[in-house]
Amino acid sequence: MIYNAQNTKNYAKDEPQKEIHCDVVIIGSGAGGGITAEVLARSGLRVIIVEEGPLRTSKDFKMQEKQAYADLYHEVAGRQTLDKGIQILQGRNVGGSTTVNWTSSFRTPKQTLDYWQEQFSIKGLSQEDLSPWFSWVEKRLNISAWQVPPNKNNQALADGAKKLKWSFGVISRNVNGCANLGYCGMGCPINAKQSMLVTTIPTAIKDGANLITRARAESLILKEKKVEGVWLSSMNEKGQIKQKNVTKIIARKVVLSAGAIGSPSIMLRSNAPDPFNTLGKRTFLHPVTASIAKMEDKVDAFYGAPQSTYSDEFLWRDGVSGELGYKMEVPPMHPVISSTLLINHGKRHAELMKDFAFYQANLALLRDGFHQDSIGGQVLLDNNGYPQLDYQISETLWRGMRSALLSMTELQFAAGAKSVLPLHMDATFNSTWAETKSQIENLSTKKLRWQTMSAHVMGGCGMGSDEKNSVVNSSGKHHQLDNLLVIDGSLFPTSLGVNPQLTIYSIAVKLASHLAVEMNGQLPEDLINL
Amino acid sequence: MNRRKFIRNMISASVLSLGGISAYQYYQQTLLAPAQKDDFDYQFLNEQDRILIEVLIPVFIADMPFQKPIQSTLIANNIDLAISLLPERTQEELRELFNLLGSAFGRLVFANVWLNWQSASSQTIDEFLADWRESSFDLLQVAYKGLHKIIIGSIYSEENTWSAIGYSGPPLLSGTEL
Repeated sequence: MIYNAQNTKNYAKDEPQKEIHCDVVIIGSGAGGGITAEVLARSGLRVIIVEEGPLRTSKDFKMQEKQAYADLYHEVAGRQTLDKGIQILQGRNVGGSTTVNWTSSFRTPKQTLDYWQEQFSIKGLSQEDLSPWFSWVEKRLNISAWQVPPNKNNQALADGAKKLKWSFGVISRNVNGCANLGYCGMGCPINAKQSMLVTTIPTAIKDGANLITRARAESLILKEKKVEGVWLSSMNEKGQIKQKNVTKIIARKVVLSAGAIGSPSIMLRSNAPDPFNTLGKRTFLHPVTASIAKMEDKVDAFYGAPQSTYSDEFLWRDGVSGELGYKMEVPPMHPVISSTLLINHGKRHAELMKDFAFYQANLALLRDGFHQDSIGGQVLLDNNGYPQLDYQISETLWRGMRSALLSMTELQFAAGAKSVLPLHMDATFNSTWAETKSQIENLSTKKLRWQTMSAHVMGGCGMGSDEKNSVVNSSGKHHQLDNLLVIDGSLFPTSLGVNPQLTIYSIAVKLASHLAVEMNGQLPEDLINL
Repeated sequence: MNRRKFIRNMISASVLSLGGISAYQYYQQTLLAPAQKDDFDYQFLNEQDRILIEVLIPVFIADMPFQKPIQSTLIANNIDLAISLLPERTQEELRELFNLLGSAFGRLVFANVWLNWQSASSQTIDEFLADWRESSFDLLQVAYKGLHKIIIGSIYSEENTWSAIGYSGPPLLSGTEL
């Protein structure tokens, strides 16, 4: 165990230090912050990592939803958009969402990177530019195509796609010694998942970095056009503010890696300059719509690697910026998350739950941010300075979600489903594709009826060469403030079309390496020549 | 007289004129049996909220053949803990919802429950929940979904509900802790 009292402070219990000096303070320990911490610490820079959530490790991971959602997720895994139309799953702990994600790893599609270059004049992030960085991350986090046969939940997706002659593939995963348990979303109990918790942050600590948990970055310390540091507030064990502004961190550089809701909110709380009104805008979610199939035999969708197959048949169905395309995958199903998604009560709910082990679920994540009507959401602050996301679903997005439900349910019947339920409060199980199709065609596009979710929050501090439509440049540097960088998923000017972790890691290692050189750090050999 | 008492008295007056029961009878029937006692240090739920939860649990789960009966205090513990982890804004919204349902006005106007929660039949409560689920008011739909999430989620997080849904729980790990 690398984490100890010398290198890790828990502000819920430990006495905060009044003032800390360092080279770089990194706010957030997820995909962006974890990688950045490793690169900078290995380059000999003095790094402080600040994390709002708790430090939990494999000995705490009991494969119990009750404990995991409360401990490891934002808002007990029930974060919602402002109008409560979309439920957001986001990690909040040392390792961020990488501690609880389902390990799916995809390189950023070429179409997405080309679009960024064309529309936002982003430099240095073409597929060719990123290729060596992808390879570095894949090696570092042991990412490779999953060799074990998929569980029945994933097998059904492959079976259905095959029958319909749709494209499908095997997912690459960041695991080492995976026992195929199926509880990635509750923290890996055997440290097989190569999350930031067990890879980059321990390395950074070994190279001298310090970690502060249960601490929120309250605001940036601004002096004219310069950022001098950050004020931290302490949090209690319930994740509520204990005391404001207990620590002042003075740093040569401040890196925001607090995720696409967190990073913009820190700038908003600091009244950071925003001359073109771009901060916190264009926040994307890969909005997810889902359907549940009742199969002949038990599926036991709670066991086995949660995601191992996918279909991109419709991801680019109308070109890059046409009708919204979608990626099809499956979610794992456990009692709490499933019972709360079946929004009914009494006998109707009981009937639905009795078949729980026979359910196969499909999800489609919509590629938002490319179509001209798909402008994403906006991060705002509530009266307590806490962030909330306003995300309105456009007609274009509704059309995409309806099309996605049609595709998924067609696939499920092709895979042998006895009946299928589109996840919508007005929908019912139907036993033929024709009935299901007709029901989906008539489902109302109301935000509270159509059950929409997200596990991929992106954007809000978009990068670009023109400060009129971006917050930071292609190196992650803030357009107006010196010494401030953003390195996390909030950099993306659109969504990706794939699960985001590998994109965040790869862009982070590239930007952090440049930063290390710029700060006269000694970049380690494996990174020098990339 | 605070606003709630005022509304409550207004309702009492109208109940008397409509129902023809005596003021004393009405007063007696609005009194509640206390919530089940436990040692949990509640941060959010008050006794009135816990009584409501006790009443709602059996209606939410209906005839699920769970291994052991659901212990309502345990569910209230789960709910209280979960709510205490939510941001202040969300806690305030849930406070309003519980207060509304705890008030005579809210109970009568929004849930159509006349006397008190404990005297309402399962069918009455099931119907009020169904009305909220289908309500044309977003606020009531949101309230239904909020109640659903905290109650159902807290129930199915308990191991003794799992055999009824064909889930054997997490696999046993032996000595793999790193």
